[in-house]
Amino acid sequence: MSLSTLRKAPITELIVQWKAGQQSSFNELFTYCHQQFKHEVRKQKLKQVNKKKPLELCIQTTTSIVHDAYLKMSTHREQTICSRKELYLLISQVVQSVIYDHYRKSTSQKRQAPAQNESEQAEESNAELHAKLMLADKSLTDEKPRCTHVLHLHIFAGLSVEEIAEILTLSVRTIHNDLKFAKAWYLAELGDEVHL
Amino acid sequence: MISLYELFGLLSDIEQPFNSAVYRQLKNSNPEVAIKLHALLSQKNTSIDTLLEKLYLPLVAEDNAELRIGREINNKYKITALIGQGGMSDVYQAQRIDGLIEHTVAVKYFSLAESFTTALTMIKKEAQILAKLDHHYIASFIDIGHDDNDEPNIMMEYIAGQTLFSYLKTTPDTIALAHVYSTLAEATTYAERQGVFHGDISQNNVLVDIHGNANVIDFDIATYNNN
Repeated sequence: MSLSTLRKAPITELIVQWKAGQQSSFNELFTYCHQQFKHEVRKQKLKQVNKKKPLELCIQTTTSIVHDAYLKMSTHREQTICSRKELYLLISQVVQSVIYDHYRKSTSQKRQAPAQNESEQAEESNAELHAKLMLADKSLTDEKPRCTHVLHLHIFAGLSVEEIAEILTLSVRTIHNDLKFAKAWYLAELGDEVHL
Repeated sequence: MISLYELFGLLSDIEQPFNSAVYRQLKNSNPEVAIKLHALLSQKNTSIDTLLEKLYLPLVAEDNAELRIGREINNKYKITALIGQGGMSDVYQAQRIDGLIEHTVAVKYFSLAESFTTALTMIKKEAQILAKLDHHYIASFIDIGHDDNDEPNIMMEYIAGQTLFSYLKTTPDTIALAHVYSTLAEATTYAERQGVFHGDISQNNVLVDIHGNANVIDFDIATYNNN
């Protein structure tokens, strides 16, 4: 997909197709989102004038993808086909897939590379991170499925606590509690150092 | 029985949760749940940014073009240096290593693609456009190849020179500059006559060679109109 194609990606149509049960549209959304991520990161890196941290840049990119998709949908007939909640859940799924797939692919594609300590180390940590994240998703969903949704909407779709509360028709306090629990759950599963 | 979620909610706002009666009682009655709760409460003050960094930073760190240096292509060429980076691609210098002849080529990778399959699709598109062009001021296409990491790339004529952007900083005289622009116009006019529209001519997509001629490179987003 060239850059010009990327700019013209029919997000709205893809979402409608996805709603109609077409798995291929999810894959296209995935490709679009992945390239958008890498493109934004690279653009800022090349400009070398970016004062933002890479993390802020990634979150901003996610948020811009979500809002772009929503703005396009809100003026079209598709708004009635796909609710705001469904749209955000879809986008959070797409972004999650982009990130997880990246870890998975970076492992399999570099397997045959000549010995390069730096890339081998990165490969190992990516594989480990991927496995741990999958486990964290599963175990938290078993424990408290709503918390997984809330966390994903926050970290993958870039939504604020207030926005999540509105979409899921829950109180802001509940979302705060869910997020706090989910964050602790993931960090514990990822084996982070203890902060008492 | 009270859930982990509820226990966490009860104890996470307490200063010393592990000294609380609730926690001590749990430790005796259900040590397994107490261990899990301990792990969760240990993270209660960690910022969510720590989790976000863990998730996103590998994605940013992976975009490291230097990692391709040293790779071999079709057992014939070896990548020796990174010579340019664009919004979508990385370009390297590669030397022939099979001992038959001395040869330097430019090798381009589509780093933006999410998979090698997508990269190959993008490569084929640009290669097909370049294959239609045969002009002394347009970097010629040589071949499509795969390196020893199985990553696809496009091999092109290597042009010794500098980007127009760097060249303009050397404050060239009017005659030299006029030559650059006339050779550039010659190349773009030729391409357009063949139905190829570059779409992104910029000071970084034009190389000025050692003879002062412009050379058009980077047909990443070029389009072909066979009418």
